[in-house]
Amino acid sequence: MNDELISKKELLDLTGISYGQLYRWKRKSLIPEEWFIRKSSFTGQETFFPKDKILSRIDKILNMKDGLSLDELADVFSPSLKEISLTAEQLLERNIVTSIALDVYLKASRHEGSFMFEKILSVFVLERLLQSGDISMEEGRLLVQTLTEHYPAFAGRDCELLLIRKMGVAAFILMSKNSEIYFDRGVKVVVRLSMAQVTEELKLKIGEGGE
Amino acid sequence: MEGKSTLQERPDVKIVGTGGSAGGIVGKLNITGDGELNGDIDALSFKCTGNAVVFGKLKTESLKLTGELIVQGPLQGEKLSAIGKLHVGGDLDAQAAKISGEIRIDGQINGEQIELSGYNTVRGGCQAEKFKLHGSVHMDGMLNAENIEMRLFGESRVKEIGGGQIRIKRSGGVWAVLGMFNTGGLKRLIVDSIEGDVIELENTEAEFVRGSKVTIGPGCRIGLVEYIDSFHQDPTSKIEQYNQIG
Repeated sequence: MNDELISKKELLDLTGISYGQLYRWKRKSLIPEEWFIRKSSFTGQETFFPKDKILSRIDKILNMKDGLSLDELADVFSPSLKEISLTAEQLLERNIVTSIALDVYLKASRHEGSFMFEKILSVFVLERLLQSGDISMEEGRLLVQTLTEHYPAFAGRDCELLLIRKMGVAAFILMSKNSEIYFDRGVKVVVRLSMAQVTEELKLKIGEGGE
Repeated sequence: MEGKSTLQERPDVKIVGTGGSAGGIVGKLNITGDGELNGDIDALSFKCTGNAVVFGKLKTESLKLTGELIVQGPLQGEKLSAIGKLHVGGDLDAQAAKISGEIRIDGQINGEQIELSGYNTVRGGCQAEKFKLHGSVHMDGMLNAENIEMRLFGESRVKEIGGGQIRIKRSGGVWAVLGMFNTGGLKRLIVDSIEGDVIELENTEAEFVRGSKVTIGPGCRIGLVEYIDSFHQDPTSKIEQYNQIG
């Protein structure tokens, strides 16, 4: 990945946050360790950040920090799954998913009772792909099976969901983050989704609907 | 094993004189004399007066040590207080730790309130809300804390320091008198960079100091100071360059 970098000094200048805030957020894991990139420059060592990622993260932190404590915020950004469970009615009521996605999900998996976060995430991804028209309902079932069977194997690590099509036949792939993958020319990559990002979006969405 | 039963027994373990135990999940663990624990321990409390070695991890709500303790793996506790010699082979995690004497941590220190005095070696870094040092420390990683207070005695080295309020002072009072017999080099701190909101330094050598309010007291040598709101310099300190930024 060739993300543009921003130096620590430029970052503070641009966002108006202080050194203390930056270190506090780092301690609370609001900003992941791997975003602190050390490089030597003409003045010695300097710290750089992936520009787009850090700016959008700081923007989110600044916008949310009035309502949530730092620890709650840390929860939102962590790729691991929160302990949460909602009923089907709540999911619909809070506009997290539509009844179409929910129906497809229920048909694809034998499911009863309330939904744990991991399940909500599956429905959420399904909802999104159905809405965008990238998949048919039939393929939706395949997606649900893939996520149910294999997503737990990543156990909180970030991974990517890929949907490819060749001659109209769809295949879902789950792979660890930042791995390289190449296909023959007949293959079309329809969807490439970072699960950590979807998780973050979902957590925000659930958080908004709460108290 | 009773498994998840809520009535799970945590037997107390007492070692007096010289003795050993296999470790495991225990209640109160008391050692007076020499104790050897051959495995991971999860204890409600761990009290040692004398010497103890843990061949594994140690997890305890409270730790009280007078003497010497070696933990081969990580040490995790709520409240730790130790006087003597402590060696941890892994990370040290604690809510509140007050340790004085000779300390060596091969991993990282994570905690809320960390108070160290004496001679300290940390292979990793330290993340805490409050970090207080009286003595010297050699830390290969980054010290990141909201509140950092160091009173220097002997020579300290830290790779990087970052946080909210950072105060580095040379020790005074009784410690200064003891310093006459000190052979551990000058009272000073050597660090690559210091970044924080409010920074007050004495006897510090740093390549960079960056912060909102920066006060460079006596005995410092700084390569570059970048400040946002205010900057003060003691005339006995040497600063190659300083700029106002932001």
